[in-house]
Amino acid sequence: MKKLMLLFFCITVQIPSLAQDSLILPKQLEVDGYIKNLQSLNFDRTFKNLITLNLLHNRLNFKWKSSEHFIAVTELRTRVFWGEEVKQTPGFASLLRNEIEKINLQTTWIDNESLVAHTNVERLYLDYRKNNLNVRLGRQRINWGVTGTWNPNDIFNAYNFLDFDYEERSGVDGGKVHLDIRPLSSTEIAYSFSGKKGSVAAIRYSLNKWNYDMQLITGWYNDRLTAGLGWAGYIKDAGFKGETQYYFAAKNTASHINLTLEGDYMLKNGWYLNAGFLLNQEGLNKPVSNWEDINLKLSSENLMPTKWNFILTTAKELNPLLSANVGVLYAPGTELLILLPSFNYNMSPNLDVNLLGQSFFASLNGNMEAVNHHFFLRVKWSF
Amino acid sequence: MSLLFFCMAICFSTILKDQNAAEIVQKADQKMRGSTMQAEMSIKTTRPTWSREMKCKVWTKGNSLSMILIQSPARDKGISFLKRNKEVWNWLPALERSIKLPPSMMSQSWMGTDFTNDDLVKESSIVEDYVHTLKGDTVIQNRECYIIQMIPRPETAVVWSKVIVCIDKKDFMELHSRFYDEEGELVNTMNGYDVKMMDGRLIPTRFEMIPTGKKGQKTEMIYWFIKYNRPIPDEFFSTEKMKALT
Repeated sequence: MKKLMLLFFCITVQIPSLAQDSLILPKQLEVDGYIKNLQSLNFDRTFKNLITLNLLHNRLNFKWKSSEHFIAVTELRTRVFWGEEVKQTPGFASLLRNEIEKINLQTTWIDNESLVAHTNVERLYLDYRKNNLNVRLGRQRINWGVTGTWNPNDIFNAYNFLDFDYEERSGVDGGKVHLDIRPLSSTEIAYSFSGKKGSVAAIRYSLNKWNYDMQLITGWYNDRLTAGLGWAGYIKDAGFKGETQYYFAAKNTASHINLTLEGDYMLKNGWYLNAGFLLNQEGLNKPVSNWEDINLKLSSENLMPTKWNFILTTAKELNPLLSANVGVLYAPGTELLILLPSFNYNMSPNLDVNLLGQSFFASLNGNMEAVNHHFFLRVKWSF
Repeated sequence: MSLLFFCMAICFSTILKDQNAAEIVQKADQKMRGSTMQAEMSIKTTRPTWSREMKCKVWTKGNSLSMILIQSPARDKGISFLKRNKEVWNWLPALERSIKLPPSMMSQSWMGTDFTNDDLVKESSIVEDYVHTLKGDTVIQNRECYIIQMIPRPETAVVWSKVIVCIDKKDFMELHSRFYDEEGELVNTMNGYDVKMMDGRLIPTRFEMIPTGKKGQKTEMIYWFIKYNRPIPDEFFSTEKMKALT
């Protein structure tokens, strides 16, 4: 274990210094990544009880270009957690596994009551690209999403949009074959093992018509047939995007549909507006009596715990280094409200500081009330 | 009769002058862009208390196809932009996601610089989207220049109400430009410097964009490598290729 720790610190300390312009690495090898520190403050509804969590987070990306057409990619994610949340969460380390990864490529190299250190191989694939063909085998992200907040078409790697600190999202173990038909028209076949639940196999056809990117998807999602449609285009000067995914009925489950619509517009004074809507047919549509009934553990089929969801986001670049962003999410049936303010500041070319908040409100036992509040301070150094 | 002839002569000479103005702009545009262009450049944004620099690779083909890849700083490395006709996409490698940009975003600052998205991907064409008028002559950096006024055609989505450009008479280089907003106020001034021979063409290799009334603020675009007229297939300008640029 000590050797592993030593190796980790050697890598994280050495790689950044190697990654300067004077880097003497083989021309075929590219190394980049970041180190982040995230301080989380989790308050209860009255701001009285505070639970803290510290996360030191490192990502190392290795890309080996063995020839003009072949690339091998390995990406490692190492996280070290400490603080009250580690102490108060039974089996904290067991919650760190990406559930949609079939093969276990993780290691928990420290697991005690106050500190957990965990490394996962996030990407591990071979990529072949020649002319209009691209084949990728191994652990990878297969991203079929078109819209910004929710992605019903992203049937391989669904994610929780509240998990802002995991930009890259988890990978799946599988393969894909992509064939360009014309510059904006292609077809892609992908397959993934999805852990305990089964596997996903699907085909996507993409085309561009009338200034709209469109995609049609069909395939198997675990034990059932699924079909989807996505698009991205304009209405006058505003962006208009959408995705819908239909899951056919199977042995023990009824058919259901997910639909998202999204519009975005940049005002002349620099304010960016984004309005989104999500229908999750299987979501809750009534107020709950207990907050624990709202399950924020999400999947491709279940992108929100609630049925009807509206989000309005506005962002403004206060100056080229400082930007502010406020999101308001409201689910009317369940009367769930989430406020999502954030500030981003670029301190130096590769050093960013983010201050974020997530406040949850819900109608519990007939009264709209605060549930909990989370605040995050993140410092990120990219290399 | 002589009055009619005089009026016709004035009209004819005005039409001829305006045709000349369009041709001059076209020649300057053609010289700077070629039929295809592959370039490597630095973009330096300067503010009174800080500055940032990024390095990019650019590929263009005619007016309708272009691609930009950011190579540094590390936080932005691998981000790319693709433009095909009037459509623009942005590839974010960390998210492995391409995002289609709404047209309303084209007038906004590109990556925090004093250039707009439109300036970089050239959604609007300085030849086709404007009516050109020759306004006179001037001397810039000891070079004789034409002064040409460009007014956007009504049907185009150009963000400026007027652009004045000064183009070198001998070598057709755009050495000075002024951009005016809808109220007719001067918003930006662009100057071209460091005239050098690049791939057999004499061109300014450093452009400075200076916003009006903002002391200590400017953005410089420095070309340090350009190749012209090498064949680039249309298929290169695709959302799939923008993911694999190096």
